[in-house]
Amino acid sequence: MIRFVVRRLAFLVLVLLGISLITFVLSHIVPADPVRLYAGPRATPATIRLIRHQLGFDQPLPQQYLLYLSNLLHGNFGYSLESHRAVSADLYDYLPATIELTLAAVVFILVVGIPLGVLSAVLPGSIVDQVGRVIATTGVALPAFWLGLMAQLVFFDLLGWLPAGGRLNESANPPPHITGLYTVDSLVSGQFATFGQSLFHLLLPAVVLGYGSLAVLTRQIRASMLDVMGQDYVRTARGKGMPRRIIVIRHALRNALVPATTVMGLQIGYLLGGALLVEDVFSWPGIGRYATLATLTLDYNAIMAVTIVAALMYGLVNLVVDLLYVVIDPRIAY
Amino acid sequence: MISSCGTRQRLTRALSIVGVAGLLAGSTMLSPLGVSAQHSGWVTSHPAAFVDQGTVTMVTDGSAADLDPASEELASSDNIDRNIGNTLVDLKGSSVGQVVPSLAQSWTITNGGKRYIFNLRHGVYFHTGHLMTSADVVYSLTRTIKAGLTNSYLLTRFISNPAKQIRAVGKYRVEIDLSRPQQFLLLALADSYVCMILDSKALKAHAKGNDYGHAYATSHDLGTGPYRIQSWQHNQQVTLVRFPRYWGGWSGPHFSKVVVQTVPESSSRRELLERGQADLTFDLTPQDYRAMQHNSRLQVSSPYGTEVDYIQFDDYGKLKNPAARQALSYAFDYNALLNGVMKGFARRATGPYPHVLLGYNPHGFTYQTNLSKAKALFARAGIKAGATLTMDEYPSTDLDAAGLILQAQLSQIGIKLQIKQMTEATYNGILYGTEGPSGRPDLMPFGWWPDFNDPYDMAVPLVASWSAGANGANGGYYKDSRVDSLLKQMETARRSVLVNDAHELQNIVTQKDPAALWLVEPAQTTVLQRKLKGYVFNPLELQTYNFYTMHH
Repeated sequence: MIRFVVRRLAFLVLVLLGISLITFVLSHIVPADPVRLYAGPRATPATIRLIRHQLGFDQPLPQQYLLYLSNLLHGNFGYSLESHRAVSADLYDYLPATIELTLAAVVFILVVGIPLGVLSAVLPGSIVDQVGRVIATTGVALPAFWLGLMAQLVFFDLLGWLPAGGRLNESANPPPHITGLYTVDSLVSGQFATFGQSLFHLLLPAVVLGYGSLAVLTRQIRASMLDVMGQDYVRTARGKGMPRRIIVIRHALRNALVPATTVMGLQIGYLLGGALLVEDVFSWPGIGRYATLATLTLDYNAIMAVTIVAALMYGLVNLVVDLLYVVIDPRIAY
Repeated sequence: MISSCGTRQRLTRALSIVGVAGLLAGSTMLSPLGVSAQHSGWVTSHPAAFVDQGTVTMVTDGSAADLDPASEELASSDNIDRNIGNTLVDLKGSSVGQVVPSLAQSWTITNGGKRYIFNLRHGVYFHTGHLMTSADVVYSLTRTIKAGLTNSYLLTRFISNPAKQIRAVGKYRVEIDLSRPQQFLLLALADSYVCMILDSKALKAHAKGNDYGHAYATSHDLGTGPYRIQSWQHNQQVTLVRFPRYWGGWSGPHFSKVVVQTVPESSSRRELLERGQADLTFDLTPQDYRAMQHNSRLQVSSPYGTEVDYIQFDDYGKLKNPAARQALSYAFDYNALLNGVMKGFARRATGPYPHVLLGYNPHGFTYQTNLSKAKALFARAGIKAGATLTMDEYPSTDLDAAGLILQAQLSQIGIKLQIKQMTEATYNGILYGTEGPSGRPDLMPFGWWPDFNDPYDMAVPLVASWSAGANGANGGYYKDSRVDSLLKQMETARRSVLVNDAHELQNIVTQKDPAALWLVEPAQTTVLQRKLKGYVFNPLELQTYNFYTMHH
């Protein structure tokens, strides 16, 4: 097991190196000069030269890349041309917001998706199954940004039940930064009103972000359950008079969760990608919005940092998924 | 200065001496080019009690990034600076040419307009707790020039050797000596984004190497303004609270808290306004403005500023011949853009000068759409049916549509317009890049506004040959020796000569040798809750708001 983990982590480092190189090359071949953009339209050539030198952009590209890697090893992602501060400071602010949103979406997907998938399989053709089918169809068909706008229109504009965006009300002060996850930090610091507010603000973006993955998971669980329910051992258990509830939960669901776990691991990547659009719609200050801004302004260091962090997160999540297989299915061993 | 998509602008207004003198009680002011001029401060009556109006919330697309006036470029940063800082002098209300005292209580112009003496207000505190003195003024202006950062250009036009030319005379007096009379210095000093006075003690204490405290000033509140920064969550929200020791006082109704929230989606901003959860916003679509005009709880304010949107011609290849550029100007359907796209939230631009700017000629030449004439002019320029022109563009309500309108018009006379869409950053990279005219598209749309009310300041970046390529916003490498000569004369010309030169320049770059297809002056629309009072728009201070004057 340990060898497996070490091997995977080593492979992840190689992947990150490759991603950093590809991102570096791609962002630098765009026909635009980030220093010129940073300096502004009225900057004199002397000013531009000065800034280019200060930022190290006057060095040859290979040298810039090596310097970037060297800094990266020290946790230094460089300076953001957009926010005018260290990229690590930006990540410190924005990353927890995305993690919180993604975790909330995952919770929503699991809490709704697993029961819905199971019930759809156990009660085929029922109303629950029909609902599952509608979710599956719409979840795959509707883009997240459109769904987000519609959700805002209905739940904020028409009904006034939920806030339109942001992590807290504008008059509220954020809780002390412990993890950066407002729900956690507010609970830890005993600010229960802030906790409630942060949950309230999480609800709509998390549901919108998770809706597409919910569709995938529900259908996956349903299909796996139907497959497992037709297996001999389930029939045997049923023949031995085991209660249906036990058969479904202990035998069928546990086995159906193995492929579902794979799907969920892959969906984390989708959630991170979807966060780009959802965060924009809901004014959610996470790395999705940060990445959008960085791309629009050719903020090299920010683009590279977000890409590397996203790849790292994706790699780690998939490693965890692989390890979870062992827990879910004792037959699997590394 | 920059595009209509959110970067900022700085401006100035032409100095209207007579207007200022008339407005300032007890002041005497002659032409800044004359012998002397003097301003004195306002006469205040008994102050009324402070009436706390609570919180005002602005929702905006952008996010403040850099608070250092020596370098910051974004309107979203300007918006914060404008409320936490002050300059020596201010533009008066919505005037582009009248100056009123601010940190300088009075000033005198002597030595034939070459020496400016500012008498500073006493008892002004920075948000850091330090008392403002002449040392702060000298250091703030000097560092802007010497640090060599983005905004240094504004002052280097007037002051080349700050160590010699700017000096403190006593604790509350500052003198600026110029090598020649400069009628626009006061207007430049009123630029609330560049010439904000900062706490020199804090800057010096946190200076790193030769940065003159730039790294520190980027993210710290070092101003004297009515509000100070309480919290700043990057890309999310800036919260300002009233500064009790503000020199302007707090008598009467004022907001005690200002929240500036970043809401990237325009539809979300509209919803927040409509539900009363925000007090003001801007940068929505013309369709939004139209719809919101019918909401009785909202007011849609659409004054005109100094922004001009245009499509720049590449002065090369197919468009080298002025007849080809005239043809394009005739081919364009201006009404389609004004009414169909902008829904009336714009007016015709007839050259580089907006209506409110000094030098604008109301009787200047205006193109009327005429495809037959366009076809004839194209033929004269050697461009036949079947020819292809190219255009790069970035997302922008009016400029996007302008490309499509032109494309449709040209197709009627057999000319194809190929449009390439890209992000604003990539587009700016091309516009401000080093690529020569042969490597550029034939047409490049853009928007521009001046730093202050000076036709020279507006025109130089756009049409001076020395501003071509990476040296300015003359992305089409436009070069006309008559224009260059006029600009050289305009830099130091007296007002009457300046205006005549501006008229002539407008005529050349519009009719004789068009530099661009001058499209529209977009209205600078802000949507506010109807109950919100005290909003004052200044045509030079676009996309920024003075919350101190606002109340319910």
